[in-house]
Amino acid sequence: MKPPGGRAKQAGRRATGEAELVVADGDDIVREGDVGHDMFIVQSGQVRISKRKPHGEVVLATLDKGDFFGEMSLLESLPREATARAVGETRLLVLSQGGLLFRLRRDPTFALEMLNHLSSRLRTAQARLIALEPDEQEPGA
Amino acid sequence: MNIEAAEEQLVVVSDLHLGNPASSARTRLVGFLDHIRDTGASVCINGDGFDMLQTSFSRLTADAIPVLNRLKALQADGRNIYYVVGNHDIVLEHFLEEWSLCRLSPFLNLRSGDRRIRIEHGHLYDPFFAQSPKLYGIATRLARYALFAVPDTYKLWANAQRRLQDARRRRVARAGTADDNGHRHISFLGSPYHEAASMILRRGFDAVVFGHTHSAEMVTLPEGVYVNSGNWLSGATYVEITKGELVVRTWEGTSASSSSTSLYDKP
Repeated sequence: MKPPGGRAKQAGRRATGEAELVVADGDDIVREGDVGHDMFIVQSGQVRISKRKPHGEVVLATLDKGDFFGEMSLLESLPREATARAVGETRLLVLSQGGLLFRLRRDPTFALEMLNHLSSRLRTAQARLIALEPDEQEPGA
Repeated sequence: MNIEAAEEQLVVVSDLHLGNPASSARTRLVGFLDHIRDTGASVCINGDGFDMLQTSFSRLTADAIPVLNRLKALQADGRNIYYVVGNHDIVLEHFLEEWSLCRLSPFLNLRSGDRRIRIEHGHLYDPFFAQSPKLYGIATRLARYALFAVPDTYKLWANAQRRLQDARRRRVARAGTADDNGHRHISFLGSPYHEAASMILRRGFDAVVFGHTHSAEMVTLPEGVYVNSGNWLSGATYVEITKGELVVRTWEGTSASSSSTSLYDKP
């Protein structure tokens, strides 16, 4: 995987399907619409997740040490839904599809952590969706 | 299911095995928890606190009630009580929710100071438990009869474990180098627990705290720090976490605990 920023250093991928990646401040790690099948876990630094909108870029989240992203493309083999950019020098653990499977067998608690985070994100997304919907009108009002 | 926690001051104990005929934890633990009440720390029991496999109801009740009373007193003081499930109390996994007394979790991701610390019992990485959980369960239940007949059976098991661990340590010592603090920087992973800790540390954790092996230790791995909280079945070791700093201590039955066996030292 070659990061869009081009200045990142990536250690060779291990037999476990994992690699480490160091990304400079402000560099893109993945870009919205790109094809990619890796997911990332933040080892140090921060990552800002944003999405293009007609009026500009909207920041969806800022991730810290231990947070992960990119799992949607890994799990569904679909293009990236958002852009991830390093905030400060950021070190990442990169997991391929095989790497995730290997890790889930050796580090089973990661599965529960992933489910926990995904459930939390779904709840947040649902809350945003409900907030966007107009209030239901009383019949006859 | 809550797996996230934040504490600036936390004491981690494990492998109390309350109710087990070989466990003498109750008396020491009561004094220790009274001492903890004066320190302001919250408490985490990192697995195998109540021994559900090798006990009788009367033993479990006799051991558990004085300890639960101390935990209640800590809770009344506003401290948090965490209970991480181990293999001798795995039945508690069916009750993974907020108790009135403690927070029951399969593991904890603790934020303390600016550090992320994983607290987990560690039985998932025991090769015997991982490869043959049913056989492991049967062997543990059978051992119950031996323990009730001769509680010193535990000493035989502990000695065998110690010999195995010493052999591993010698192997690791040959592979690693020691620094001024006595920490070993290990390039060769000599234990399945070190290997498991290493995997977890790569996910953005600064330290991993396991129990299960009954052997307290602090080891600096290439990815971070691995700590084991030891046991109270016949020992009295614990991990003290203060604003992200980890120290392994031994309770000596007085108001003060002994000096740490090692200091936090991230490589």
